[in-house]
Amino acid sequence: MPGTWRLFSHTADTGIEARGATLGEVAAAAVEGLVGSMFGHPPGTPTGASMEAAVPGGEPGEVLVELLAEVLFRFEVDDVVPFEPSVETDDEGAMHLHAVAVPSSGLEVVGPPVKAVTYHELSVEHRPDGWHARVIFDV
Amino acid sequence: MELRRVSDVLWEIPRQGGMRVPGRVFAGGELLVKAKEDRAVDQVAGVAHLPGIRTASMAMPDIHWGYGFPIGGVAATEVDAGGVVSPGGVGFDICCGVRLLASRYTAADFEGRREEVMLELGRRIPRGLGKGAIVSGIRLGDVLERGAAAVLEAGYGWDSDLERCEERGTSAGARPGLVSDKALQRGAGQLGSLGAGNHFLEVQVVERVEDPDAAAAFGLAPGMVVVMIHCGSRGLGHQTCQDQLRVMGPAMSRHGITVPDRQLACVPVRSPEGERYLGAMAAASNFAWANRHVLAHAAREAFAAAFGTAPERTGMRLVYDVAHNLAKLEHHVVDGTDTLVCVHRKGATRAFGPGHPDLAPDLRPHGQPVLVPGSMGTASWVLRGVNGNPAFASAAHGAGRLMSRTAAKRVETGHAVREELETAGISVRPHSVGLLAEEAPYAYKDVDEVVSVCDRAGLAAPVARLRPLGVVKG
Repeated sequence: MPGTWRLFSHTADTGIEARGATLGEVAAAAVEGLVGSMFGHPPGTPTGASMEAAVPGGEPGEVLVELLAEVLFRFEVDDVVPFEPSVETDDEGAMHLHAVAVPSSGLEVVGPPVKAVTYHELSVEHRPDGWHARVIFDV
Repeated sequence: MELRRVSDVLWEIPRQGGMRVPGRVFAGGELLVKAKEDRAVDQVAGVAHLPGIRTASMAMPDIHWGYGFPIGGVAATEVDAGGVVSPGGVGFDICCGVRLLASRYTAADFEGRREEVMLELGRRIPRGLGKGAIVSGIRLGDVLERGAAAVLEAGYGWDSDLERCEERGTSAGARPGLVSDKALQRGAGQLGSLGAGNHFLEVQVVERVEDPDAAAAFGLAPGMVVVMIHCGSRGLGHQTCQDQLRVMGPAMSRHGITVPDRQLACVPVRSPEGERYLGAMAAASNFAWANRHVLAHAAREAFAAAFGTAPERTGMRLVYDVAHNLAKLEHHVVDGTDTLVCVHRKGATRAFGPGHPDLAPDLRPHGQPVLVPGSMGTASWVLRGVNGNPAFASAAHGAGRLMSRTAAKRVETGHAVREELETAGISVRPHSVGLLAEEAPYAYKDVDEVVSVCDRAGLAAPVARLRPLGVVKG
């Protein structure tokens, strides 16, 4: 299950802040934030094929950027976006995304397409109240 | 961040901390206030930490907050003194830029066929989300190797186009083999597409000519309808930058370099990683040159269809095509010595002055055309490069954003913005009406003020002001 996310203002681009009880939850929330910055939620329960994506372990911020970049790649090449995401992690910090791949063509557009995931002011850290992530997207 | 006034249009950030050179911000009045408010000035100071940077970390009048580098940032590093190349100083949209076409039509001609022209452009210009491109079946490797020349040979555009392109539409030193499979997959369905965000194709009229001689040499005349195209290397470029940034961090550590922002990651130009970045960047640039070349071809066909003639009878000759996200190896005089520098222009345009050997003979007496698009619905400008430019032959690239997309959407709806533009006589063909508010005129700085500062600061001189008549947006 994902945590929570919100958009924040940036002069030229979009940023999200995500929170979760675990690293996996905050990563899933970040995936929801990436998708939510571009598309509205489909009506009812999202339906589609299963989407899986895996990123090897490393520094949490770098791994999250890779995961979000993979989501972006699938969107541009396969025209699908992930809904109902969940992310498993292991001791090395690898991330494995499970989601429903919904075709983007039928979705409401709420924001410009994201071009890339930046490292600018990137932060993924564990605090006393859980995991926090901050990522800026180039749009 | 302390700023010391050098003149009404030039402010300096004194060297402090890890800055290797001072910062210089070409701005004044409201432009300077906004640059300080959104912390773009802090980013100018950050760029000054780059190894090998010479003279100053500079910012153009349309400066605003970016990633690591501010948008409107210019930084030149000395190549043979350990100077670095930084992908953040180019941006994700490698070789994003602007192309301007002249035409034989007047505003009155356009008014008589407005609906037809906008309909044909709407049909022929892929834009917005999802796939959709003009070109398919062409060998992408050839495009990455040769840029506009490759699509010209495939039947797009005119022979005369290349001499009016920066780099003649082909970035030298391209290494297509360094472009990843993912980047190729993203680019495969996007050759001949605008994208979205602030990219556009705009029909404009030459409203005012400030420099008649230069305007005539460029191919412009008062009252002439022109077409401006703003886009870049699409997903192929974005992925290439992402791929290069991924390896740049660890590589930077091996070279013993630290920077204040991860997005300023860099390596020496004269290093295997630096040479690989420049090779990949050149290949992605070639995609961008080819992309704008194909879109211009489509624009000519659209006008031809609307006016019931052949494309070659539309008079739509290329005025110029410039990049505003690129790193280039150039010779400049630094402290009295001819020096090879890697000039990063991130949201800044090259602006060679009169006499520069890289300019086509008919442009050389006047200087390079510099294309400065304003925001949707406001003016755009054609400038010319001038000698004695204090920023490594660089000038502004646009109006620069004033407020975030979120804030812009709170001011008005996309439908309201569209209605206002249509009331002002500007036809709008968006891919998504809802997103128009993000690109509304009130979300951008005053382009006339940007151009005024360019002129007063000796960056570039005004040639012609262009007023929009119709816009196609992603």
